[in-house]
Amino acid sequence: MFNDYQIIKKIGDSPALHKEEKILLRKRQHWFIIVMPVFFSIIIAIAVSSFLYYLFILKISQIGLFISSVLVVILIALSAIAKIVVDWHCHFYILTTNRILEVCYKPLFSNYINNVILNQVKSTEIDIEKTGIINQLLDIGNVIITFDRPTHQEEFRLINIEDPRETGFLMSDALDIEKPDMMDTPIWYKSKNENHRFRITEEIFPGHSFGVA
Amino acid sequence: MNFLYIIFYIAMLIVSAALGIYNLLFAVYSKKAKNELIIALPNSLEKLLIVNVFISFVFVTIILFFILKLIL
Repeated sequence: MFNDYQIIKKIGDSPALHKEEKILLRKRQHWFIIVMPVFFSIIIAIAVSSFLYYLFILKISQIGLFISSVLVVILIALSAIAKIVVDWHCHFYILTTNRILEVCYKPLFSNYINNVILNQVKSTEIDIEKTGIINQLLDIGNVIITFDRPTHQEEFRLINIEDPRETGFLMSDALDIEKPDMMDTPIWYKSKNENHRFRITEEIFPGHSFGVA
Repeated sequence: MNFLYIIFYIAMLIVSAALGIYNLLFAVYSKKAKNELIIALPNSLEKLLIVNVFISFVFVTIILFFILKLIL
């Protein structure tokens, strides 16, 4: 989740944010997602440094070569770790009353913003998936929202977020509240008689009432 | 043999300098996100990037010192 001080601009200042638009959810991927790449970067740096130690110190006894090459290895590892952390920090999801937004900014490499306007689409399906032991233990999972008409991706995926179940339920609540007409009884159940809207059971089983009125 | 060592040092120097420039650009573009996007990097992360740039140029200086030591 973000702190308020981190929000420095309103979502979508062009066109201007609607007065009634409110932020319902702000999420980014779980922190555990960056643990493994950072860990592997450190392990690889240690392994390469060990090899350089063997080569330059034990084989040819050149301390200068060893130090200069290890410095470069440390620099590469630090740069890689900084990139992993910044990329993770600049990838987040926002749900407002009017839109779902995915921002993925990789400084110097790419810039990706997926903005789905909710009053242009209707969500037909919200899937919550949590697979794997680590994901179960740390409560990491995906929330996949399918829309009734194709956006450029057809599905909106919130990947590797914390507490996907609560997020999914919140999303389904938020998306349904915005479209109360979709929650009404479908037309084929309606009866002309407003006192007996579900008269179909009486027609099938005359004389038997199932308590549906 | 010294010639080979100097070539290796120069290669390390070029790599360090290139990484320094990359880190500098990365820090600048990360800062740029503050103006273009809805989120700013936390102070600790900004400091990490600046330290990264600083370390890059310190390492360049150290490697340069080794080269000069070998030549002189």
